[in-house]
Amino acid sequence: MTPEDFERVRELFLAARELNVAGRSEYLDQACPNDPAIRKEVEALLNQAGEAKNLLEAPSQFAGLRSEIERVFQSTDASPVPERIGRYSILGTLGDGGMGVVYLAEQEHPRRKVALKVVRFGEASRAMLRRFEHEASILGQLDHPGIARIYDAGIADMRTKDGLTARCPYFAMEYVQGEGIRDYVKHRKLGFREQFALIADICDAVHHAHLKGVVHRDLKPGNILVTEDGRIKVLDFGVARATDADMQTVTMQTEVGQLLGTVPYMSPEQFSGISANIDTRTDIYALGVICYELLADRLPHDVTHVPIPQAARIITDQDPTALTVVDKIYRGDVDTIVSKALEKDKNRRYQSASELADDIRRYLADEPIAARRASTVYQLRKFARRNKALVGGVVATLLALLVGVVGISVQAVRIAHERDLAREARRIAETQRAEAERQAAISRATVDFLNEDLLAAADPYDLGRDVTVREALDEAAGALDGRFPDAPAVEAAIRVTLGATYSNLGEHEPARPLLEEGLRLIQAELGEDHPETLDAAGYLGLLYSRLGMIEEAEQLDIKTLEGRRRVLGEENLRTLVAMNNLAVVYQIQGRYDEAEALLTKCLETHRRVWGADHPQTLDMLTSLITLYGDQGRFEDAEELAIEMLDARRRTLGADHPKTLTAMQNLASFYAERGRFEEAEPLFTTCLESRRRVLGEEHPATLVTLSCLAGMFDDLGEYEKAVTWSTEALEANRRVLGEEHPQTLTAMTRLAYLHARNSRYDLAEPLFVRVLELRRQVLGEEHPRTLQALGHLAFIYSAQGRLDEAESLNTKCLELQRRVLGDENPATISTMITMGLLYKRQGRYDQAESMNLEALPLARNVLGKDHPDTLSIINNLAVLYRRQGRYEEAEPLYIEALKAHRRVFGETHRRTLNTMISLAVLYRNRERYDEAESLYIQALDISRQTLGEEHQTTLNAMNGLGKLYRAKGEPDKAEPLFVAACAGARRTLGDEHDLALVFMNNLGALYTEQRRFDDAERLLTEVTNVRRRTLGDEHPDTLTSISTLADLHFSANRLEKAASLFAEALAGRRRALGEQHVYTLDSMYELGTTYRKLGRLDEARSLLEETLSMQQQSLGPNDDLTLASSYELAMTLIDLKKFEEAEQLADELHTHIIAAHGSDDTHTQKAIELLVRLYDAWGNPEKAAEFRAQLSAESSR
Amino acid sequence: MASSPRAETTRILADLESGDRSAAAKLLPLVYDQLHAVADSFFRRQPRNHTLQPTALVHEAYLRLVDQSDEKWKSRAHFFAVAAKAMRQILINHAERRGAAKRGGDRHKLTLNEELTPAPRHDIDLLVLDEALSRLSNLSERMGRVVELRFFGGLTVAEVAHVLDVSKRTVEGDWETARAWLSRELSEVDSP
Repeated sequence: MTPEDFERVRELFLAARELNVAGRSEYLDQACPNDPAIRKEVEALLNQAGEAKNLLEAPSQFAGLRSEIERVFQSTDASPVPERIGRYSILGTLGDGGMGVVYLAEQEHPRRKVALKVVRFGEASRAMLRRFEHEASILGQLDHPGIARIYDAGIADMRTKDGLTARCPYFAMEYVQGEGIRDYVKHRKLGFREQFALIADICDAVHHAHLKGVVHRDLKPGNILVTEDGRIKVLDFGVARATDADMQTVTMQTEVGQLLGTVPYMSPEQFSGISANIDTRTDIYALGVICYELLADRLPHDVTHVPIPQAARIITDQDPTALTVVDKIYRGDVDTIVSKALEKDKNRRYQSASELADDIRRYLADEPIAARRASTVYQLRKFARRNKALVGGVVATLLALLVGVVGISVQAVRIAHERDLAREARRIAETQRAEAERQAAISRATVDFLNEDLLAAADPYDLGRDVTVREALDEAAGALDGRFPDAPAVEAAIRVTLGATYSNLGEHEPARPLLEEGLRLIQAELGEDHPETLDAAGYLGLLYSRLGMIEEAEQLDIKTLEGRRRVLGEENLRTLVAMNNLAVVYQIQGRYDEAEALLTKCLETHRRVWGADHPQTLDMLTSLITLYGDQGRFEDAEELAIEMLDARRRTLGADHPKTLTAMQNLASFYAERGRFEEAEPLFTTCLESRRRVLGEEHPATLVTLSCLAGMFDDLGEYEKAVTWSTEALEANRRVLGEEHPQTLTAMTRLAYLHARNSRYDLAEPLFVRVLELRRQVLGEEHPRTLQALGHLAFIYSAQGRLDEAESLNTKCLELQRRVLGDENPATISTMITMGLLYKRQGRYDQAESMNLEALPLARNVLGKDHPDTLSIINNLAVLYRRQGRYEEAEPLYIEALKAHRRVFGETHRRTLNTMISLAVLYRNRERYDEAESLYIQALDISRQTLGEEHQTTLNAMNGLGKLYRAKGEPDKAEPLFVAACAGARRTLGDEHDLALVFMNNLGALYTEQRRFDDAERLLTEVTNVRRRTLGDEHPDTLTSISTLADLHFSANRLEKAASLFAEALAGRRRALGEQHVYTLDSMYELGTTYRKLGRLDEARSLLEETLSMQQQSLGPNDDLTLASSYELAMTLIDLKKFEEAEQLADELHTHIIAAHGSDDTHTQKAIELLVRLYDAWGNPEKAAEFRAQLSAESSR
Repeated sequence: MASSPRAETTRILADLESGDRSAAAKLLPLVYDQLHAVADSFFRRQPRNHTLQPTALVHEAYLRLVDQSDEKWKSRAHFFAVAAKAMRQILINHAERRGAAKRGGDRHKLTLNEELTPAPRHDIDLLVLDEALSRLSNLSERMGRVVELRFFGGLTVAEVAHVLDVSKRTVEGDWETARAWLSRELSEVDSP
């Protein structure tokens, strides 16, 4: 049968299958009248169809398959029972559980039996072990009679009888002697009320753990024991989480066996594969399953023999058989309770284990259960959650009501006036007036409600912008004009409310006229010092500072503060808020001392009058923390941040949004200082909690997401960082819109991430977009617009687009100096960028003076340990080093390195860069040992923390390579250069700055190894790219021109070498100055080339000039000086100026002996020179004398 | 930094996604190793009478090897397609070795046409199945792959359709026809 025939068979079979027996034969008669073979085959298949239905699907068929698989895979025997693990001696095996083996073990101090669970990790990464330790320490805090205690956890050597050892993570747990809950219930024949009571006990234990922030994630009957006296013990608490490798779900790391045992107890969200979906309510689901299983003696979903993907579908999509159907006695409350625990949507389940326990106990006590009462509220809540427009809708309704109510009341007042004269109507008028007042009170209440309840909740910094709120506002604002001719106070109140709301939504422009007009009206009506006037002024001040109108904000805030002091007193909460707001304005202006004085005073009053834990006290504390952060006073900030987190936890609970904000802030401080081990768990917890409490796409959740992304980058996981950061940005765009400040911050963060990893091509469009939007939203001169301008300038500079960079940078600095003043962090930061740009342009003098101007400002404004201050010191050091001013550079480096180590720690990439930079200095000064050890140290750390292909690692490789080359060990240098080149080209691209530096170095090395073709290929490429991107006279271009010239010289292509050396020299004279070591190098090289070309006069004058300058700047014994004088002497010999040559050669001989001792290759060269001189001069005796010396030297 | 199997898998899946067919060959050894590891740990702790399907192993290997937080549905299908092949190879290779070692090649075919009561244990002889499957592939390669993907890989109809780039209807038709055909092949007892 051919495939074509078979295709026909298939068609006929499928068509005929649908028909009855008679129909089939009729159909086949018709369809294939003259092909009996095909027809026979179709009929055979049709006969099989019934039989085939279960083929390859029925579980029974796999009984044999299982043994087959078992034989296939069972190659290795189970590992032998170890003798000892750490300080525990192993007595036997208790079981082979999910993630490892459980041993019965004995501990000596205190002497007790423990269950020792040894965790099997596939591949234990550092992060994984760190997480393990962290989780283990949390688990240690669980202390509840219903939870098997975790005594100890750690990583220890496991030793077998054969003396083999291996490192393994373990948990030492309370050894519980009891029976599995399923067996217990069966053996004791417990009734359902008793079983129900047991479940409530389990809930108590689980709830205790939840309060400590621990989710079990793997609750199942096998993990619940009941002791002889009927007390429950939950095992393996949080073990699933602690051993959870990469923040994946529990399913990720459990093994098949465990999975099969676990699947029926897994909640729908556990199948989602997103670990953030798992929370305490996941355990509630499992409790529901256990409860169902005990009561019904069957699982809610029978998925034990079902493939896992299918099981997932069943659990996610199908409703379980109602308990009532299983047994009528469960009708009503029992069914309700269990169903509620088993809800697919975790928001519909009991929200805590204690709620579940409470309902069970209420039922057992015949009280009404909460699950029923809550259902209407639930319906409403669900509606609210589903319907994002609800908040907006309510606002719209209320605004309509407000405008309507006020309209009525105003009308009422007017009618009252008209009738005022009519005495008989007075009584009615009084009633009307009373009604009007009542209405006014309602409208005031409505305004308050809008302000404090609904719109505060719509604050985008807290909750995200809701389009419908915006729409409602627009409508209300549109209806406002001319609506209240006789009630300016009411109009003012409404204007202020609307304005404040716009402002809180991040819509600053429409807010401004509303607030300004509102303030004007209210001031005219109620006077300057009326509390409502001051409130309006407060809002407007806040708006001004958000709009970047700092001067206006300052003036208004001062006025507000003074007014409130007068009217409300120093200790009033609103006065204190005004104080805080003014301090924040000072902070923006960089007037840190004034800001601090104000905040400290404000905080002190707050604590004294309102108590340290008052929510507003803590808000003020946040301002102070931020201030310290801006000042670079990380230690002070950290101390307060810890205090803050603690207070929020204590007063608001672990999950409150403000607690999470405090957590976020603390984590950021840690991250900023390179303390990632401390930052990570906080960020992770914060992210999880925010996702759970606020939702996946809540702006605050997104902030944490992008911070965490930034930290991944710090840890060298650039790609992961980009993925997360992009995700955060996209979500911000979706939720808040592209123009929202937070979206722009997220965009800046992502751009920064790219820039830090030298992906300027990716960073640029983002920075351009940020700038564009900032301009659009905030205007040309807003501090944040200027910041964006500075960022873009930095990128252009890094891309080598130096002219564009310069124009942006200059403009930015000019505006910042004007708008913010010199003593402002943002201005200082731009000065740093400007300094870097000058350096890249080779304008070292301007670079130096820019940095020297910035340094005292930074020390003063930011403090000596601020990252920016340290950057300036670093940059100055590099600048001095480049200019050969080593004496000035070294102490700066040492200062910078010390500070970096102190502030950022040893492994932070900034510290590493400083180390590498100092190593360059040592190398240049030929302090090779110091250089080498520093390089190797930096390289090791960088490899470990940032990875093999990270820029910092590549830099260290290259530097070490250069060191070996300088030491004359090219074989050690080559692999380093090659690796650095390959890495840079792969990760940064062929035209990237660093790739070019590395290529240049490799080219030079090839020249040395006389691999001229390889060298030329590389060096020509580098030179061409640099000429194109940096220009002909950029210092880097000159370096590669000079390296290329060197190649031609070595390959004896002297004409070519001479012209390139001449070009390099001319460029260096202009770019670096006459005295620069590089300039002197070029002079020496060109002089040498001229001599070889026979252009002796030119050679002589150039070399003489070189020599005299070198003697001045480097001293007579420097190798470079000696080399020049050697060349000059040779030139003089060629010129037959023998006397001068003799004098020079003698001097050279003396200096060489002084510098290198007498038995050195240098010394030999000097003697060779003398031999050559006397040969040429026709003085055979002298020549012979030195020849003898030479042979004596070489025989030694 | 040496890349983990998971990172490796993710990269290969991305290659597959972008149409690099040769990437499948690189994935195979990874899947192979992981299947062994999964099976190994499985047998260490499951009671003997537990039912195990190859698809469970494949699925578990998938969970271990693929970072699902950023996976695409397509990657999943690609992975299972490769895993199905690996699973088939593993099982067949072993069965062959064992069969050859034990008794020079005589084996029983599965009988599906026995008495209906009591329910017979329809144990599938893997080698017979494999041979039948190969014959089927000669008649229709696509149908062979449908069976492989569904039986050894545990893919749904929709996933198979995606991997093979055909409609779901086609897959369903193939699956029905193939099962009827295989059922016939497997039941043709060559008993002495």
